[in-house]
Amino acid sequence: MADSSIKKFFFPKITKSYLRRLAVVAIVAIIIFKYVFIPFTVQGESMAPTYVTGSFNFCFTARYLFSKPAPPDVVTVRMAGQEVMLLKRVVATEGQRVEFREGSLFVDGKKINEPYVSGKSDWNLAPTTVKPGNIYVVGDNRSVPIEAHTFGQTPVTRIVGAPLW
Amino acid sequence: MVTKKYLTVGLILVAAIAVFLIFFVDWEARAVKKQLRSIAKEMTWSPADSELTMVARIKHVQEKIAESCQVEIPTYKVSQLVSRNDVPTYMMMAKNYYRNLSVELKDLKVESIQLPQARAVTTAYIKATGADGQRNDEAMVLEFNLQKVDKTWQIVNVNETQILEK
Repeated sequence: MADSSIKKFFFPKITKSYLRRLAVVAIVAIIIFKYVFIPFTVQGESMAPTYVTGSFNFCFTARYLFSKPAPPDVVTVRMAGQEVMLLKRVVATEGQRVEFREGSLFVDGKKINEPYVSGKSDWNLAPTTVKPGNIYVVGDNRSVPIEAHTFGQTPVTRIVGAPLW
Repeated sequence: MVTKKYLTVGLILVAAIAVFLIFFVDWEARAVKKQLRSIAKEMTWSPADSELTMVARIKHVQEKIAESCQVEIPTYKVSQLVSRNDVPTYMMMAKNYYRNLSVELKDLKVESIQLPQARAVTTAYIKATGADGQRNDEAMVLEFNLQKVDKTWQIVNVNETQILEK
C-alpha cells in the first residue's frame, strides 16, 4: 500500500490535469523566486560578521511596500539590474548628517551604538548631509580601510528589498 | 491530402517564425550586446595564457574600440582619452598587475539605439587576483556609448555610474 503511494507520488500518471497543475506550480515558483523572494549568495566581506561570503539568502522585495528603509535595516541596493546587488546597512535617512570620527558613527552629531560592528576601525569622514530622496548605507565591516569600502548615499528608488534573515 | 495539410501547417509556422524574427527581434541591440560580451571575454586571462594568446586578445580589443575612447572610472580616479594604439600598453600593464582576471557583464541592457549610435548599461563583475595573490573583486555599473562604423559597433565612451556617493 505504502509502496504504491510512494510510487504514485514519484511516478504519477501523466494526465491533462497533472500537467496543468505542474504548469501552475512552475509559473507560481518562477513569479515568487524572480520577483518576490530573489535568491542570492553573499560575495565579499563588506557586511561581515553579519553576512559572510558564501552565505545564502533571499531578497524580500515586498519589505518596503508600505514603509521606508530606516536605520538599522539591512537592504539590497540595485546596480544596473538585480543580478548583482549590494548588501548594506542603512545608517541615516534624508536630511540627516552622517560623519565618522575615529571609527565611530555619528548621525546629527550623536554617537550611534552599533552592536553589529566588530573589529577595530579608524574611519574618519567629514560630515555629509543625506540629500532628499536618498538614504545613507554602510557595510558592517569597518576594519577595512575607508578607501577600500563601498558606502555612501543612494536614492531610495535603488533599494530592491531586504534579506529575509 | 495529409501531406498537403502538413505542408501548409509547416509553411505557416515558418512564416510566423520569419515574421517574429523580422519584426520582434532587435538585431542591432543583439549586435551591441554581442560586441560588449565579446570585449568582456577578451578581458579575461590566467597565468597559463601564452604571450600569443595575449597578443590575439589585445588585437581583438583594439578592433572593438574607436580610434579614441573616453574612459571615466571615478572609483579608480581614471578620466582619460584612450587611443586604440594605447591598448597594448594598458593591457600588458593590467596583465602584470593582475595574475588572474575575468569580467562578466550582468544585467546588460541596450538603453537606446539611434543609428549610428547606441547606449548600453551593465554591471561589470570583475574577479581579479593581484600579482601578490590578493583577491580584488569589484562590481561597477558601466555605461557604454557605441558608434557603428563599417557595420561594426565600436566603443567611443565608457562611464562608470556611481551607485553610492560618499
